[in-house]
Amino acid sequence: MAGIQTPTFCPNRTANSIPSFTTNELSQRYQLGIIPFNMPPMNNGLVNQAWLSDYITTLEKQGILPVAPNLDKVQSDMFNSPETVDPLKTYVEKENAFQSNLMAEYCFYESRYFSAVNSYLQTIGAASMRGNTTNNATLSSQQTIAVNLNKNLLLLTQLADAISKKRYMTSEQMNNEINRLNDQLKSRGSKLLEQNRILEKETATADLNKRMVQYTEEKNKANQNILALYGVLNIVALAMIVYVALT
Amino acid sequence: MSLYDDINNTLSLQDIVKASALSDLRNDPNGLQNYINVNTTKLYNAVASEHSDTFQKSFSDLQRSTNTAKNVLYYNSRNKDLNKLQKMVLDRAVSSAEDATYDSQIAKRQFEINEWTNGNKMDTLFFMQLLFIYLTLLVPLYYMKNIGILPSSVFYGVTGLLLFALIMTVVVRAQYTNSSRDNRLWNRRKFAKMGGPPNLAVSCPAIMDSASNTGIALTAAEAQLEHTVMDYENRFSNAFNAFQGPSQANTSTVSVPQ
Repeated sequence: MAGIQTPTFCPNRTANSIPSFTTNELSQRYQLGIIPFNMPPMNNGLVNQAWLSDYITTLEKQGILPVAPNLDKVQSDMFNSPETVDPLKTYVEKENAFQSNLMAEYCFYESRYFSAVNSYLQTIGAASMRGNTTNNATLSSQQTIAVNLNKNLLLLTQLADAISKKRYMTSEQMNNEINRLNDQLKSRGSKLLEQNRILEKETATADLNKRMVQYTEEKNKANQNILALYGVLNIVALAMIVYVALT
Repeated sequence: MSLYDDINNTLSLQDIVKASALSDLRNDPNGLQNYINVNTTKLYNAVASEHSDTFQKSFSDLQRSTNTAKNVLYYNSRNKDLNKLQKMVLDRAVSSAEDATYDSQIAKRQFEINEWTNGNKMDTLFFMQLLFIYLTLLVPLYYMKNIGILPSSVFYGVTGLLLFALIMTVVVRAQYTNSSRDNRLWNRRKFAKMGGPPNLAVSCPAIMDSASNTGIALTAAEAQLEHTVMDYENRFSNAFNAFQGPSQANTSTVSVPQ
């Protein structure tokens, strides 16, 4: 069709072209997707916020949507066993994989939706030509397929929005803890400086006292020699007395 | 003619033109086909563009929020790592400061012990010198007594007097060391009425604990010092009172750290 202008961010789809699928392919489900089997009720295409919140919790419990790891445990693991895999890195990898999967799922349904819409419009257009007969069953079937695919796309968009909000809320909650930690770091930094000052002072005092001990040891040795000398002198004096007494 | 009539006439004219155009299109299959194609393409482009744009925006938001969460998570994690490392460093610094204080105290005490030993040796040396002098004097006196120059009474009198002085010196020194000399510092004398010297020992581990708990080691040390100074002033006052009159003295027992 000439004049088609559909820029796409889907990696496997060509821009400004209309994808083509058979009826069976249009009804396929994306494997490992997050679209539930039982679609929630939609009011003007919008899903209830409570349902979205519950469904996101369910996805987290099922391990499909990654949950930020407990940092206290992560830190402990990192310090105690460095050879273990970094849970933060694992979380980021899972998050990237989830996003890629979400986009793939959207692209999967989007290309089918575009094909269904095109088929539907073509059928209506053909019906407008003189002499053509319209098969109402075919038209109804095409419309149903297009509406269902459209619901899938709307649900995926709303899920992406809800997950975004949850991520922002997580960041906000973590921000409080970060501020608390920053205060603690600042306070402990002051203590560290104080301890460092004490350490320098006490080390200098200890060095001085050790040198004083060395000095007194030397002094004791010198006095010990003088004591020995006087001991000998006294013995000599006693020997002289004995000598005088004998002579 | 009113404005209302003008509007009605215009709408009627538009309907006529539209009916005429449709009639022309029905008579021109190629034109109708082109008309349908153009409008179908417009509709398709609008639907596709709206869907793609909406999801692209949502997905970009998701990526941004996730990246923010990741960055905050890593920042928090690094903060926690830093916090733990800083705690380790602080614990180490506290431990080192305590060790340094302990070493300093041990070395200081060893210095005092060595000084005391040295003083004791000097005292012994003093006695040895006196003994040497006594014996050296005894030799010529004894010789003179033997050859008859010096009478025995004078000899025994002089030697006895010198021996008495020697013995008294030893006794006085020993008594002073045993009862009056301070057990810690050789040159410090204990005054019983003053209740001994003031206790200047500051509990360094207590200061360290205080520093690690509150980070105000200096404040604690200053408080301790202030307390000690006040204690010293009280003792000085008591000693002064005791000096003026024993009945007014208000002495207290102070343990001297050994």
